[in-house]
Amino acid sequence: MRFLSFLLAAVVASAAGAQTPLNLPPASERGSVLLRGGTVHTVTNGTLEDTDVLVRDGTIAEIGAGLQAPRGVRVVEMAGRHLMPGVIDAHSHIALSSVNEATNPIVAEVQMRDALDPSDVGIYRALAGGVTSIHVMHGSANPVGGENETLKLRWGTLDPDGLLFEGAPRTIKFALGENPTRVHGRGRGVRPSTRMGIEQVYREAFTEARAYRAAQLAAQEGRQPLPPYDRRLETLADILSGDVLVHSHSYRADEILMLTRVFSDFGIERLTFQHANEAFKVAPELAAWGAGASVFSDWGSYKFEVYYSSAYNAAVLTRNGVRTSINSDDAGLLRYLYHEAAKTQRYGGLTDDQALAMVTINPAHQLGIDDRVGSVEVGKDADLAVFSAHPLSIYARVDLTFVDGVARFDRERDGDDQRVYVDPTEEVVSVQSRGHTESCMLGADLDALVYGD
Amino acid sequence: MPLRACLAALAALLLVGPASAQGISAETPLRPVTSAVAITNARVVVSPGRVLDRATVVVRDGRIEAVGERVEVPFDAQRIDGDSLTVYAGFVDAYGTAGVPKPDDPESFEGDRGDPPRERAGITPDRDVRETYDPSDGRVAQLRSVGFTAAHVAPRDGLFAGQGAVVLLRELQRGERGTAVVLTEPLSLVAQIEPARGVYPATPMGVLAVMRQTVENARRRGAARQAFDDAAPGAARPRFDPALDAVARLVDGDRQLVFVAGSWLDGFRALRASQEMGLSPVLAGVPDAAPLLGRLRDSDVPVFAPLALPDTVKADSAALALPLPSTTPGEVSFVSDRRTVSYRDLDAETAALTGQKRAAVAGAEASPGRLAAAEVPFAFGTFDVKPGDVHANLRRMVAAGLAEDAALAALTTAPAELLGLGRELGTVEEGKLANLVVTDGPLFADSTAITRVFVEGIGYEVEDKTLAGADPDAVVQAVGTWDFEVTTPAGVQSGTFAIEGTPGNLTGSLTADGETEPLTSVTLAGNALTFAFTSSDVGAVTTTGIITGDEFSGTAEIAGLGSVVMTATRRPE
Repeated sequence: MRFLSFLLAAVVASAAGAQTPLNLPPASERGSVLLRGGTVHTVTNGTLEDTDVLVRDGTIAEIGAGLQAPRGVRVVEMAGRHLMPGVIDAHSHIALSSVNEATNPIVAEVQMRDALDPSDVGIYRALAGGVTSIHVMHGSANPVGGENETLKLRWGTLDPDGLLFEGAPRTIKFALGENPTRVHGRGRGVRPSTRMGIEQVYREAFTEARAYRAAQLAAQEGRQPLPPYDRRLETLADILSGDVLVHSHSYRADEILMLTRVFSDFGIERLTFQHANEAFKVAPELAAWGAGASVFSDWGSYKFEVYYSSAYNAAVLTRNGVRTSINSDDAGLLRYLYHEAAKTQRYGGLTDDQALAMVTINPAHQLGIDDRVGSVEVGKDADLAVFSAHPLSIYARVDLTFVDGVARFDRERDGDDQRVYVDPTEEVVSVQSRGHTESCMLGADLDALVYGD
Repeated sequence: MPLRACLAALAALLLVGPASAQGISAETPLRPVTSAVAITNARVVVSPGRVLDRATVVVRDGRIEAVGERVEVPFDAQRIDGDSLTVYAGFVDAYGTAGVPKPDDPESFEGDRGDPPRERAGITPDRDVRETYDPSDGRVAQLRSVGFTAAHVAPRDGLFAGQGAVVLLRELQRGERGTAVVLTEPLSLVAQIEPARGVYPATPMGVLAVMRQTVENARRRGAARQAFDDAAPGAARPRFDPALDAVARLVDGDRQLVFVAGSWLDGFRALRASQEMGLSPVLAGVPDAAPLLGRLRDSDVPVFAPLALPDTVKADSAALALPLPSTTPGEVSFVSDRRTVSYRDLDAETAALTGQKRAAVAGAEASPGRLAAAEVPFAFGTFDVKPGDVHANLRRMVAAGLAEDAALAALTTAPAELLGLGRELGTVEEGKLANLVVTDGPLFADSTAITRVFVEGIGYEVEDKTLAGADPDAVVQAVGTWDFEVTTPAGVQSGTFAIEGTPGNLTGSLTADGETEPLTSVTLAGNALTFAFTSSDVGAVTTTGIITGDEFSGTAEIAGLGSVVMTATRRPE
């Protein structure tokens, strides 16, 4: 009975045309499609002209010429169009109900998974920019923020779990510099007040986490009851054992080197610096250590610690062998990340593949999902974006975005009103009065939390 | 700030006065002459779907003594002629906070915001609602007058707010203390995604992290205590921790986890967190449960559904021309050629939003019907509903697809079963507590009024709510500036209110203490004028009265406190 009603719904949807969140398939859907005769930017294996890509049940099944669509499978004619892996943003704060648990310098126990909001229309807008995965991060108010979450943009699901990138490694937010010292040091007179203080926060936290894990092991070996459970120390201990990848908000070269030294001392091997505006100054050191960088294309000078910024940052890092991605940290920029990647050709002369890697395979690697997404390869998830022209061209726009082989954005069927839910008391508001807020710092003003804005 | 001084004083009087009425005092009602009551020849709805057309119900000493078509009326029973009456089981409120005092707003916090005392963080699972429940609270009487006879009441604030219990919604009798109306031991532990203000945990994600840690430590506490009792060498001594002990009762199954969620999104979060913590919750709240139906059914989670509904959204012709967004997955209902490109399209944008809002309201109205259709067990809770809205809201829900029997079940048998009180409450059967609702017609009909409510055998007559002197056919004018006087036990306050506009589209404002507040819901029905406003001191005030010429005579009702007399005279033009 339910199966029949589902079939009926599908017929209604295709007849009526417009695509809205309510008529998209459930998050569990894995689609099939033949993308016939386009230019395919594989990113890892060069650019293939006039090539077919067959997607079967959410996975890239075949890449080649003259491929046939199985019965009932949609065929998208790609002549004159370009296919690339779905864009991946390694730094986002959309689709969240809260960003900062700013009350304590260390909040390793909180998880962005608990704050996901699948009804944020920003998800759909990102899809319209060819984005298929985002890394939603805790804010930068604390030296140790909460656990981030890697998402697939399965727009239409209302169950937050439907957005989860199954199997993606756990990651956590760290933050260096002015934000944590402002919130905790200047804001409420507790450590850290300085960059030196931030280093000590880490060293103490990891030392405590080691002792915690040792006490647990001793209890297990001595067949004693486990000591009280501390989720903060659990997560810190999981960082030490390599189960949680660290993504650290950072700007200055000195603090970047500081964190690599702390991690070396505690035997932590994987680290990605977020923003990292001065990373180009220490690019060889980062390459030698094996750290990655996820940077802005050309954003700087918005506060003191980012005055020394360069649009050549990504190119310098890449040429020095640092795995580098370009991120948005912003709901608007998120839609134009392929333009952001193209800037590395103007500032640094990177190749097409190098530039596209900035928003595909490189962020995938930094998030530990490069075996699943980030390139057009047989066996990978069919998270793909169809462009009207070369994706690094200013004239390109996104026609179709597939997640797991399901078209979750389709320009031809783009329904106007994508709102999933409105408050019955909501009013139309003017956007003029809205100022720009640094999204990293949402919720970090504790007095506003108590007394209102 | 109008009505500040007088109403605040009144509030104090109303709150303090009855609360001290314990033991015998002049105000305590006398014992009734007889404890037996017989309602004869009434239509008796024994339980949803089981009706006796002409039966007698005999009540004695707080219990139902007999129900049936051939029941003899005892000689000592007070006799109520039930020829035109219908008897239902008293409603059971699955979740409410009537009689539970509001905690004070937290003061600014000087200590370490990252590590506040647990009360400030909202971790108070050891709080027992029975210790603060006040049967003299005005809201208790209001809920009783719309049919509620027993309620699962719960502490209000905090992420682990505390333990709820079932109370009988009756007044204290001569010689009784507040504990007399408590029906059960604590049976629930209330969790909610409620961040602490300005201290840890200040976000929903922080709250859920704290919950998980607390529950896990409550689990470990049992093992640690066992080890200590067994004198295992080196075992740490168990620390005094009433909060963890309270949560341990949840883990052991001695308390039901009631997870309050204010939205479908929090509902998803609550279900996932409960699953991770290895606990089976009842989901409470959730105005629109449609997105959750599959998850609720798959995880066998019952729901305490709210009786509050959002106000209906007024729509002009442009908004009505837009199709309602469908809430059925798979259906398309949006126009596809509308583009909002500039301020010139604001009307279209507003119309689209109105359509969305109407859909959201429709979703809330249809929510109980959808729970029933999905066979998710559910019962109604009062939460923060205005008592006067309960029956209108029930009719809206029935109109949106909820079967009348299912609605009645959700008010009676379902909450009784879900609270484990099926033996005591929920039906009109011999041996059960004598909690009854007596009406002059079918429960969900527009014109039906509740005439009497019995709680543990004690009868309460429900006043006819239609205003004395109201005449729906009278033609009067409300527009003008009125000088009013409010008379309270603490003194008299005066001020003005101004009404303008045309019938059907009235607006206005009220000025007192030199400050002005806008009036909302200004309606004139016949000669009855109603309007509401918000006072920053006493909250929502609803005023109702009759206009005769240039005179207004009525009452101002202060939510949760009671009503005061208000008179006004129109200024000559």
